[in-house]
Amino acid sequence: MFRHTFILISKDLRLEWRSKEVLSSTVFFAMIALTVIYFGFQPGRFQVANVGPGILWTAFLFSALLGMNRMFQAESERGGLEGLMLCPVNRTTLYLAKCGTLFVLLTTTIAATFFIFIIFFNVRLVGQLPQLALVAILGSLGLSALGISFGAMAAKTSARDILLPLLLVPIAIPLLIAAVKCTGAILAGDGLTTARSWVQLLAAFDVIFLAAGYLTFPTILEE
Amino acid sequence: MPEPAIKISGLSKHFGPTTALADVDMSLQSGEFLTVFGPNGSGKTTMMRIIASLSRPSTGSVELFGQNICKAPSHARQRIGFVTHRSLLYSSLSGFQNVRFFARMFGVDNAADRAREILSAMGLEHRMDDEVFTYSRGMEQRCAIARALVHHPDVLLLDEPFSGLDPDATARLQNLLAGPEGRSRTIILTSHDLTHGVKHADRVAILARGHLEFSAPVEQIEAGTMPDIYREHTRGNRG
Amino acid sequence: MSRDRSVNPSPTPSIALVGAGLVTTLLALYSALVFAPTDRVQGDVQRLFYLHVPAALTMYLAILLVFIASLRYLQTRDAAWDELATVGAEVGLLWGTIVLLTGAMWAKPIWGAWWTWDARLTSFFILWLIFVAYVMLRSYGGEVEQVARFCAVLSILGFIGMPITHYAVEWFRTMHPGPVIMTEGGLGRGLPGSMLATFALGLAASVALFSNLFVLRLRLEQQTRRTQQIRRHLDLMETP
Repeated sequence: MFRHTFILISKDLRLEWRSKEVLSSTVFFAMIALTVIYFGFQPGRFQVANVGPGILWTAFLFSALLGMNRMFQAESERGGLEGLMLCPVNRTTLYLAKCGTLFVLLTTTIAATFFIFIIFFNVRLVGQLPQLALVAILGSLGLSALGISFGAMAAKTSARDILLPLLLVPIAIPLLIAAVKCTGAILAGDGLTTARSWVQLLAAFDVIFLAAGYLTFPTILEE
Repeated sequence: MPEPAIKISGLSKHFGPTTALADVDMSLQSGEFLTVFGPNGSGKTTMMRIIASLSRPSTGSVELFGQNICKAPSHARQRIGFVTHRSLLYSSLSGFQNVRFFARMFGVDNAADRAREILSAMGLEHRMDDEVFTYSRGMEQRCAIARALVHHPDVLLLDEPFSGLDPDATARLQNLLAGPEGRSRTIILTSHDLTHGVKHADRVAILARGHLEFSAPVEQIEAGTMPDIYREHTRGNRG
Repeated sequence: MSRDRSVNPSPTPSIALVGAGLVTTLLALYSALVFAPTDRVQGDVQRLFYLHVPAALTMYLAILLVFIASLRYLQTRDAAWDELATVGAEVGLLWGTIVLLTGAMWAKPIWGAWWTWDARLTSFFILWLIFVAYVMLRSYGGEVEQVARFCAVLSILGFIGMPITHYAVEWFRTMHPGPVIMTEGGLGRGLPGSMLATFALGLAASVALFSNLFVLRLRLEQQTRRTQQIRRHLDLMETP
């Protein structure tokens, strides 16, 4: 199972590296989103401290949704998923592999988004990167888990563009809230210890939806 | 009596209210070559997808060398090579990278060498390092067949493989089926075109509206009567 | 050629159910508008409570129904369970909309705003959104068997996410009037008897009305599916 997962993820990442299809759309979209937010709200230093985390995660969430759509669209155009289903791999292994790929893409996206964010909004950091990285990882993990489940579903329907956000966002709200709270605590200088319950909630979210996604993926791919 | 390579019993498939396959029974010995004819919508692709374990039957079963494929799908997949009109290849990777990837997924030893070997056998030795999107339809088909054969499957399933091929590519495919790669395997080929596919077959069957209407060894069919037989079984109302 | 149904093919709401619906609704209306005393603090607007809260509780019942039907469908692949889930979600969505609307009508005079993002309201709104997603998935999900599977998975994921959503939103903020039915003193201590009775009647009426609508809609769904099935068979037979 791990061997197959590794082979699949490296193939996907190699493909992505060549075409840069998903990453280019997500990173540029994040830049556009942050630009719009800036011109829309023109937040000063005080506002950024308050709503900064929200701005960051909002821009990232929409970029992520776009990226997921692109990822699945590219897959179905090549007929890729069907080719994989012919291989002697469990559907659950496919789920893990796809989550792995999406996780790498999303963490890259959020890193880029964050980078753009601190530049555009003039945010000062004092050694908070490791903690921010943790929140980014936990957030991306949860979004990947849901993204593969719902992305696979939406890809098989006629309205995939609207269905993916509609299915994913309501269920992802706890993740969004927790991620924003954690990021806020870190940027305010209080650190993650004050936001411990939010970190736990993020971790619980990841575990729950990775498990649920893993178990339901064969049903989604069934015919 | 050796167990059949493929045994289909009471196979039915419903998609909601639509019935794609109705109570199909069929048996194929190891090394046999079966061609299934049928008009569009007759259920040929549905049946092939079920045998390839991409789809699950609503009722009935498919056994591969005595093992129910639903019970052990991974084992079944290891022994099956499937070719459809979609190549299922990654167009931005090279032919070699594609076939090597699938070789790895199927656990083939020395995947890279095996990939080169089978691609050469398919006549792609000079183009295997080019991206698949640069291939012609015939070349893409050959690469897809290489993909399907890379893991030495016992069974080869070809769903409408002649569609979209020029005469040259068609001849190549015919030769392949007649040659060692084809002769050693159990093959099912589907087509809605009567001009191809009978040549090397051992058996011929006709599927119409989900029902298996006709099945006979090729020796029993008089030369040139195939079009009439086909017309007879694909026209008229279902009783 | 037709497949056996484990459920009665065309249930009509029985006289008993229709009767129960009528009686409870009339009683509840009378009770809510006339019998129950006017709330000292909130005034007559408070009477919306007898519709709002029972409707919310009924929607929670619908959520449970859809979840169980979805699970059973995945286990048995019997279309009857899928029909129950489809209908439960639709009628549940309707009830949810009623809750949100009555909530807004109540909130404006009491809190001064049509909408606030307090914990209970937000949690409920998220559930409502999931129902909307479910109904949209029904429409765009593709062919029948695929849609049934997808919706089942969605309802399971949504249901599993309920506790974590509840906590997340709760920690986020709270402003809703404190619980009056289940308070520290036990069930119903916070309310005078007449109000409690009216509330109970409201709940009974909500469930009875829901059941009636549910059965009517279920019958429609079953007949629609049956008609499609017959039409497909006819198409299949006609092809020369």
